[in-house]
Amino acid sequence: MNMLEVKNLSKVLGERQVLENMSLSVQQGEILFVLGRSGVGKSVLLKTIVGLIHQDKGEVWIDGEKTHPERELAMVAVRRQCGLVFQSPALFDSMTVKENLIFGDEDKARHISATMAWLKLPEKILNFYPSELSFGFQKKVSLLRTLLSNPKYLLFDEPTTGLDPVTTNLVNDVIRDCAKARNMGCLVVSHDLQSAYHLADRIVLIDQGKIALSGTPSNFKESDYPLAVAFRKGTINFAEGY
Amino acid sequence: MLKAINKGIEGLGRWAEFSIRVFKTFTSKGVSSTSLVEQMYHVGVRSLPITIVSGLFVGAILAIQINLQLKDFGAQTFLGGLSTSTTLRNLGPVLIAFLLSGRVGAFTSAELGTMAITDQLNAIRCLGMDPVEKIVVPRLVALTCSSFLLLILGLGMTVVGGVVISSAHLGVNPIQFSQNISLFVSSWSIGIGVVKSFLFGLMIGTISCFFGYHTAGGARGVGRAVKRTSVATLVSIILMDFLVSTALESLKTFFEIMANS
Amino acid sequence: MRNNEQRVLFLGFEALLSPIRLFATSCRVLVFSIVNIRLHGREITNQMFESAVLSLPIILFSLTIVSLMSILEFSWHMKLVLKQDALVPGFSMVLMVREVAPVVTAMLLTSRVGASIAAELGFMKVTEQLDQLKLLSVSEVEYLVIPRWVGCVFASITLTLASLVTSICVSTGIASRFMNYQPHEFFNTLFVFTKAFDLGGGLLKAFCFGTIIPFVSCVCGLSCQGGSRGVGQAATRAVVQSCLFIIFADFFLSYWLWTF
Repeated sequence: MNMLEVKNLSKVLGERQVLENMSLSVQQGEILFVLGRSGVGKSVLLKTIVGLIHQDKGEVWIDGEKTHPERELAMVAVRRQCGLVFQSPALFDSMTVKENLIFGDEDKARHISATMAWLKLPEKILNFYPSELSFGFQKKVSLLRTLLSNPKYLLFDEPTTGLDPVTTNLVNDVIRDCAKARNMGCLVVSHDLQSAYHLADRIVLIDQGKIALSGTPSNFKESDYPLAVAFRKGTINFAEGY
Repeated sequence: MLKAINKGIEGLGRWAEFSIRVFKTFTSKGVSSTSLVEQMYHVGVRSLPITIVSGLFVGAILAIQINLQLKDFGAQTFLGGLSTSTTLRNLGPVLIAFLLSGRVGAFTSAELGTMAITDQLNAIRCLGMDPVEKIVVPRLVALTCSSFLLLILGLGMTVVGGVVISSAHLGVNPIQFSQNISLFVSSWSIGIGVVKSFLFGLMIGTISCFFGYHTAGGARGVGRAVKRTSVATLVSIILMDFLVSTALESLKTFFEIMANS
Repeated sequence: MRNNEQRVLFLGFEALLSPIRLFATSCRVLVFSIVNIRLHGREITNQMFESAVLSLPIILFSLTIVSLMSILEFSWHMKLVLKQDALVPGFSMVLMVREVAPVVTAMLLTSRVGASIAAELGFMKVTEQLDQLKLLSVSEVEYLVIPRWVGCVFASITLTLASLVTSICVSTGIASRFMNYQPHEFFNTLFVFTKAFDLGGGLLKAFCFGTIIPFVSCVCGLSCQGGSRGVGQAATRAVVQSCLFIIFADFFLSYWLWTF
């Protein structure tokens, strides 16, 4: 039962039903892309999985065990297993890069150089402060920080948004390595269709809080669901309400 | 109106809950000394100039005002005692605490607020740690301690400010100034000043951490948190001032009655 | 190291000078706009409402407690000096009019209005709304600074008066309840020492503080940099610098008005 499962998740924020009966699962070694337009609650989904937001209904199961978001202590173990890479770099700006990386667990220092080489990060940035780095480097450091706790599942919140094409490719390669070489389950929330075609084993399309479409990239390419068509074309047919 | 009051009371409840949570974390986990020292430097040492300057000026202002009133009666010999006593017991701690609430309170809430909205606090949770333990507790402890020490220092500076202005411009030399201090300023008065300073420090710490920690809504939210922090600390300082004075006065009366009987 | 000190000194002077520079610009704009008037009336009324009416409850509440405190403290001291408290109302009223009402009102306004001005302008700056204003050729001084100035001066003066009224009521109530005064007797002794000049001085102080707060806060907001962190810092700086300026101004005004 090595999989991350989300069962019938529902969440209302304010007056809006952000998630409605959402169910999906990621196995180890698999890359699942969750596509959707901005503001349909993709980030809420990720934050709910690791318990930063509490769901109204539904459950999250990790390796066959149900999580209890109301118990803050029990969630610590869950969060060690599910690394979340935030959309903003979320680095602690009062600390150097190195202090950021080993925050809370000095032992992690042993793995830093190997992981840095993997991400093609120069060692000299270890003593820089996050504000002295470019946005791309900040995001990579943030990814590195998550990888150092050696999670089983990686949750990416728009990993490639705002990056240049070179860094985008590098991040995509890292995601593929994580899944294929290190056997982690990757759940990627994005609206970057090119990366999705490139990487995904399966694609899930969210529309108005519900799962509209689920299948392989080739299923997605052939689908005539209006939002999927709009995503492929990069245009929106307003007559259909998108 | 009723809704506003309701909301205020709810906020008070959440503040109390948060403070208790922080206090529990502090007693069970303690606080790491390195981050405590770092925070003490950030909020404490860097606030020294502003505390000294404001203390000097507050002391001088009150000396001027009280001198005016005493001059009409030819009772300038009482100046030192009266102005020192008024400053130490009441107005001094309040005014200096106002300035500190801006310097350290608003500063901390802006910092924590920025951490909250850029997901830094969430990142700590995701690394399997408690942000209250790692971030809030050191700040709160450092804030409370350094506000307390700074207030005491500021109170000392008010006396200096009073002496300087009296001898320079009011025609009361330092010896005359200090003659009557012992008549007015008992150890009880100093005690009141110290107790107030401690409680003000605690209020500044808990309130600024509370608003900072619960910031939401982007850059606008950070601004809102700072505003709420400074308003709430000011009002709570005034309220505390009153409560502490009343409580300590009745305690003193109680002791006196006990001693006499 | 030396370089750093020079930088700090320079920044200090800059902080001191830039509100004054903005003040001068605003005065110039105001003078010119009397000829070529382009005052944004709606903004001005908005700001007056924002800063005066919305701050009223909190200021009345705080001033009630402050005047309660000051009368109790005064009676304690007077008993120590004169062995009686007949002069308490007069003394406490003078201090109230000259010092406590304007300063405490200004401090509360700083935290409520000053911080929000800085945060608002800072937010506009980091979201490039200020650049947009420039593109629309709307002067930021005319549209943003002057309305806030008018609003803040109005708020400072009216709220100082309101807090004086509150403190009179509170002192009368307390004195007749706890200190065996008759209300009318107390009322008569209240204004023994207070002259019209004192009231004028208090209001002059209120005017000056009401000018300091918006200018310092506007400078902090307009010079804000660097996202949400910058907005927070701008609001913090606004509160700290306004409070410091208020204390300085209070000292010099007290000295100039009453000691000469």
